Amino acid sequence: MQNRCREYFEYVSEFIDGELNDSICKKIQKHLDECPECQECLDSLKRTINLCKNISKGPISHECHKRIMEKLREYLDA
Amino acid sequence: MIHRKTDDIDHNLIKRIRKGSIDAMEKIVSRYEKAIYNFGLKMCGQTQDAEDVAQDTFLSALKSIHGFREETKLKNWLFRIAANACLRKRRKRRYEPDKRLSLDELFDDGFEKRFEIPDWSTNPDKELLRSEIRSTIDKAIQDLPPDYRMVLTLRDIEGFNTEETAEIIGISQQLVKTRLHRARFKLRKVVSDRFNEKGIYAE
Repeated sequence: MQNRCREYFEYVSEFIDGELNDSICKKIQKHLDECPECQECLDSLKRTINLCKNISKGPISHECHKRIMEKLREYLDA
Repeated sequence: MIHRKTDDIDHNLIKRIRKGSIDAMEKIVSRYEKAIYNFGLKMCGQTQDAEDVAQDTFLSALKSIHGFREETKLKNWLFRIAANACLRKRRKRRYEPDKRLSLDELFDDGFEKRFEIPDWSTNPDKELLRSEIRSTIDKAIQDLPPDYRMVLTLRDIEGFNTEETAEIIGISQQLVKTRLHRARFKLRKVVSDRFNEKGIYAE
C-alpha cells in the first residue's frame, strides 16, 4: 500500500461520479494504473453502486392509493 | 422573475389544483406515489410507516401548493416534504442513534481482502440470485445509520444529483459528498460480508 492510496481514497466516490476536475482525475487515473489494490477498491465500489441503482421499486397497492386520496378529500371537504 | 423548473405536465396540473381540481391532484399522486412510498420504505423500514409518509407528503403538498413557486422540480419539492416526514416519524417512533461512520475505519477495511460483490450486469437473468441480491442490499441499506441512509437512497437509488440532494435534505453539498462516500464504503463491506456468508459470489 502506498501513501497515495490513503490520499486518493477520499476522492474515490467523487471520481466515480465525475465530480472532480481534470487535473485530479488524471492523477487518480495514473495511480489506479499502477496500484491494483486501489483499482479493485474502485471496481468493487462501482459494483456496489450498481446494485443500488438496479434495486427495483415495489408497487404501491391500489388500497394504499385510495387511502391517500381519501385523506386529501377529507382535507378539501373540511 | 423566477425561472420555472417544473415540467409542463406538472405545471398544468398545479394550476388546476390551485383552482380546486381534486382530479389534477390525483394525477400528481399517481405520478409520484410509488417513488415517495419506496423512499419512505427505505427510510422507515415498515410498510405502514411508508404509507403514512406518502399520505403526509401529499397532504402537506396540497396544503402548501399555493405557496409553491415552482423554482424546483415538483418531484424534488415532494421529496423535501417526504424527507421531513421521515424525520418526524423517526423522532416519534423510536430512537435510532445517528452513528458516525469513521473514514479511518472504512479505509482500514478497504484493502484487507478482495470484496466479493456480485456484478449485476453478468447476473441479470437468474431470478433466484436477483432476489437474493435484492434482499441482501435492502437489509444492508436498512442497517446504515439514518443520515447516511437518506443520502445514499437519494443519490444512488433515486438518482438525484449532489446539488438536488443537498437541497432536499437541507445540508451542504460537501456534507452530501462526505456522507455518500462513507455510506457506499460501509455498504460495500456489509454487502460483501453477507454475500460471503451466504456463499453468493461474483462471477
